[in-house]
Amino acid sequence: MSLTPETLTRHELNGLSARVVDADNPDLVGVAGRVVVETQQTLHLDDGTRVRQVPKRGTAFEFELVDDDALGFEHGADTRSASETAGDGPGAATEADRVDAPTATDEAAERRKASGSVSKRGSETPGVRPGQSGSTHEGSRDADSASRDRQDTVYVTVDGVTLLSRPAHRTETTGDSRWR
Amino acid sequence: MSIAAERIDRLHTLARAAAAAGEEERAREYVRLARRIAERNRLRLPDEFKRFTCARCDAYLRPGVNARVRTRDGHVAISCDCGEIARYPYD
Repeated sequence: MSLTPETLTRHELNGLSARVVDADNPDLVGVAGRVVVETQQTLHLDDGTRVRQVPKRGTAFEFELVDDDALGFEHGADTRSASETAGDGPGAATEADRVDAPTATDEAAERRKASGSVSKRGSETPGVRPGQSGSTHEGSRDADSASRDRQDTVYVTVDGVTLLSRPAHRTETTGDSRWR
Repeated sequence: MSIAAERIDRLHTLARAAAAAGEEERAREYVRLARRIAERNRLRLPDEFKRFTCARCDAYLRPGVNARVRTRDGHVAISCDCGEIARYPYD
């Protein structure tokens, strides 16, 4: 269970690069940086000069998943493709839907394909960033299908509401303690 | 490897990087979060994580900076700046 677009909402967000693609507060759209602190309701993004505190509710985040990232974790290409193919079963649509709640199901399926074949798309779309105040869906489509700088980079857009939970509890699928 | 175990691994790396960058309090929060995840998911913390964190103040220990490592008779003693001493055997 490595860090894939499917497991992102239950995985560790600290240390990932993220960007705010849409927010209720227009001043926060375009904020980008590394996630340094996560609380139940907010993420803190460090953009190099300051740390911005962004509420999860009402915000769409675009996370940058690097397959072999700077943290020194090696997600083998085979493990990821294995999980991708495993996800192609009947549960695939719902899984992808859960990760990216606001998008339609077929769009999510399209995105899954995009993330699987991302290494081939690397050279096609160099340096295209979606407009900062453009509509969310356009932005997420662009972002998800494009791998810009590095070959193994995948961009995943997540509605912040799906991240609303205590950082330590987010990994648990049920959301409640197993002791209750 | 479960997601929880991976999160602990990731937080360990983040805590080490934060401590090296002088962000001790942030490293502490990463250590606490990793401990909490292990506790909730009934996982054992990795030995390396245990040996490089302080059990009392959750600091990420950097020998020579905020921790002293001494080799004693039969064990290694590592003491944090907060005064906590952890000992583990040679093996």
